[in-house]
Amino acid sequence: MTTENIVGFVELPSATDKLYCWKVRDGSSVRVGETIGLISKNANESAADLIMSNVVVSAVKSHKRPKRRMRPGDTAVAASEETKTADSITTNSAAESASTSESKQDLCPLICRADGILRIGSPLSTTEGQNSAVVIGYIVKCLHPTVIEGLCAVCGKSMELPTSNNGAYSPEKIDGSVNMSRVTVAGLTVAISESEGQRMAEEDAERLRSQRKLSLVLDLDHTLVHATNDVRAQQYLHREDVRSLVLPIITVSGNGQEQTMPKNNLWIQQHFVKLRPHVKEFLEMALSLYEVGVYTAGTREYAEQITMMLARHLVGATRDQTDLEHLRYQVQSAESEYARHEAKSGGDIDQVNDADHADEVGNQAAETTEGKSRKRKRVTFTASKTDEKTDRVTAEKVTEMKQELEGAERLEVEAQEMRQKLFGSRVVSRTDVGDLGRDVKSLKRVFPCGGTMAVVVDDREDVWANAGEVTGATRKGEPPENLLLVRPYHWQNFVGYADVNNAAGFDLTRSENEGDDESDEQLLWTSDILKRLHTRFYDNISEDKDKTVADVLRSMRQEVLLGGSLVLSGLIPLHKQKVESNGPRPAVLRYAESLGAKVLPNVTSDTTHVVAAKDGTDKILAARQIPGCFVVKASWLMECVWTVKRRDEEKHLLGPSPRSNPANLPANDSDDDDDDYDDDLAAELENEMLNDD
Amino acid sequence: MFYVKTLSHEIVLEPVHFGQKLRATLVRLLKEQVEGLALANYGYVVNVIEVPEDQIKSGVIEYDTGSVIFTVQYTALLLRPFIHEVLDAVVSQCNPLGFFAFVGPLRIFVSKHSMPEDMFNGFDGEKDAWISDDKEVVIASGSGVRLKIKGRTVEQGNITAIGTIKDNYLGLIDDGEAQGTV
Repeated sequence: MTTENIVGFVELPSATDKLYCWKVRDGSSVRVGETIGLISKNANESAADLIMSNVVVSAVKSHKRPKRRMRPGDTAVAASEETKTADSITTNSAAESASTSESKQDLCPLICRADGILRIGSPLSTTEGQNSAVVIGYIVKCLHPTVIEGLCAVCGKSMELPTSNNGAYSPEKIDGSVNMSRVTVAGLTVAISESEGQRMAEEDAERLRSQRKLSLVLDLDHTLVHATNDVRAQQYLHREDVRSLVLPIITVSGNGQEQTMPKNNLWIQQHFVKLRPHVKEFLEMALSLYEVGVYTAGTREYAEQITMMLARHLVGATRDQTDLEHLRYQVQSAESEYARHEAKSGGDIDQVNDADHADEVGNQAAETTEGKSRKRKRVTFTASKTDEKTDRVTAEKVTEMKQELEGAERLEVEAQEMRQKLFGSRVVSRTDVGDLGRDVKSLKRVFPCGGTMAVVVDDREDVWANAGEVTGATRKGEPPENLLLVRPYHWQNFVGYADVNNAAGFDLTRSENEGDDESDEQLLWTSDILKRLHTRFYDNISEDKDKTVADVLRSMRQEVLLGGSLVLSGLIPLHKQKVESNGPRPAVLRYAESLGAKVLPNVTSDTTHVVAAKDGTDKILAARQIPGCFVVKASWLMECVWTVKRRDEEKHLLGPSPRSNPANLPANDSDDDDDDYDDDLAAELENEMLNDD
Repeated sequence: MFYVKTLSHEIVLEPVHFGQKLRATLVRLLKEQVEGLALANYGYVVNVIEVPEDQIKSGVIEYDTGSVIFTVQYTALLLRPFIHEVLDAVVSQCNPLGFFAFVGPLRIFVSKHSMPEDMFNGFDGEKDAWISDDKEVVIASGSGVRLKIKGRTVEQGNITAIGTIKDNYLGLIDDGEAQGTV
């Protein structure tokens, strides 16, 4: 214990006093003027040892629990509680037998002199008491580990947190000495001190390591689902992977604050969500190897509904919240109708009562109801419609519906548990990090002092780059290295419908024809990358304790295009071509370099690939001269990024395949080949012209 | 916790309400506007007990709008957390940093640092509950706890307080399995 933290001592006023009891426990926060103990005067013995032992024994006793409310079936618990309290009473009396004889009038309060945390016992350094008083405790400064809504969570003192306007990562100082950073946990944004953040990070790392898992942060929109609130999407609800959910409408009021209309206002809108193909396999894989969390630009309700939807998809429940309520309502109305029908027919037909009531067991019930209604048809002239309706509401139907409802409810409960297991409280939404704004996602909010074991899967990089966090080898203005980019998901049927939360990321391959929707394999690719990452991370874990996910990803990426020498054509506008050192690089350049390729401005004989936006440029013409040099579309590079694997160039060729690569041929031969090619073309043209004539 | 105080409030009344039922309208509007409100130093107004008849003085007409401003005095029942006060509360939500409990509209946060040592590491992510080392005490959503208020703040029309269950005889008092009220 350092002595600098001590702000006060707890002393007995005079040497003849003895501590009767403590009112607060060791480690509790105390304030000036608070009564923290009771002292009895007129003690018989005033030996310091007795006092100290008294003090220490009182402190060591375990936390006394309050007497619990008795519930009817709780006799076992009550019995154990009784014995516990009995034990504590005996020890209490044994330790303080000397003081039981004291009269109550001699007790006076022990007043605390300083704000802070109480520690019982004498501080190690000072044995000489101030003013020859006996020191029985000392008060240390509260470290304010967590500040919530402007109050320290431990000592309750009000702390002013300066609000930062440039967003995420700006450590704020409290008391001029402690760095506080904001963190979002379970929908709550609090500020925690650095030491607390480090402690949390260590705890997390311990837990992850012991389970052999890593942390995964997922984006929702255009990564796992495609959501829209356009009503035209209603036609697709019959599909298993299209769900609907209902959200309250959000308006943006004058000062830019988002307001949700209150729930009873009925300003709600129905949204439609298409789940990405293979999302089930992806989540199942993630569940086994990762601790999964969600960071979305949607609102809190949106995030909760979508996570619930994903959980339902995993357990195979097809009914959403509204469907389930509808089913319940149906069963209820069917039941009440059936009961009404029973009551009516039981009173009407007296003759058949005895026989019918005797037969009303099990499968006979259907027949008898039919018999009754038949009889009713003969007897009464009430509209046949009601009879038909009651025909429908037979006992069989009711039990059938009840069973269906039971099954659906059971599935719903399973889905709830699955959601808890899969995501837990690790869901961060836009409402939680409201001060960051719509375009910023900050990893520090989720992992204030860590993030070394976390992977992020998102279709947009710019929101992460906007956070302005610079870690490790990342350059300023670039997204963090543990971000796994995925292709933004657009379901072709929803193309043109409004986006719900934010637009998808920039997709270089957008102009390609989408083909069949089910051919989107991104989630399988990402699943594979995550598996590889996990194996790599935990393989040599004993050798290198400081390995981070970013390092492993970087080495994985560097192997993809190793040895490749790229030239980019038509992808970077001229004004962005000058890259300052340590400045942000244009995206395509960054992808190519992170994948281990060298990027050169001009075509040389070493160039292995030219990645181009369109055909016919100088660089491409130059590249075609070089044997073995692939001229590929940008989609090739993007697919390499999305799969972290070297993709087959043949699938992304721009123009004809490269000439075969006779690398040992001297240069003139390639010139000859060119001439031959031109001659052939000329010959063909001649033939055509002649033939036309 | 609860106490009664005489407060005054300004009500702006549009001319359409003038007439026989003026006082009744005033009282009704007062109740609508004030009940449930969190006033800065007074706490939550739980109920307007009485609006003494003679206390409603004549109103002042505003020149610009034509509405009349009445200053009404009323006795209100207030709920306010006092520091060092011991309260019984119902747990609403548990998270890795601590748990939230409610006393009516008052929200109290108990951090893990303010829990007994044997509960410090007891957060169970699967069940969303705080569990002590000997598994006897399970604080989950719906349970009743006895806690001591350490600090309070008023912001955005809500009062949030900080509590502790570290001292003796504080902690779980009700399992929350039945529908009992605290």
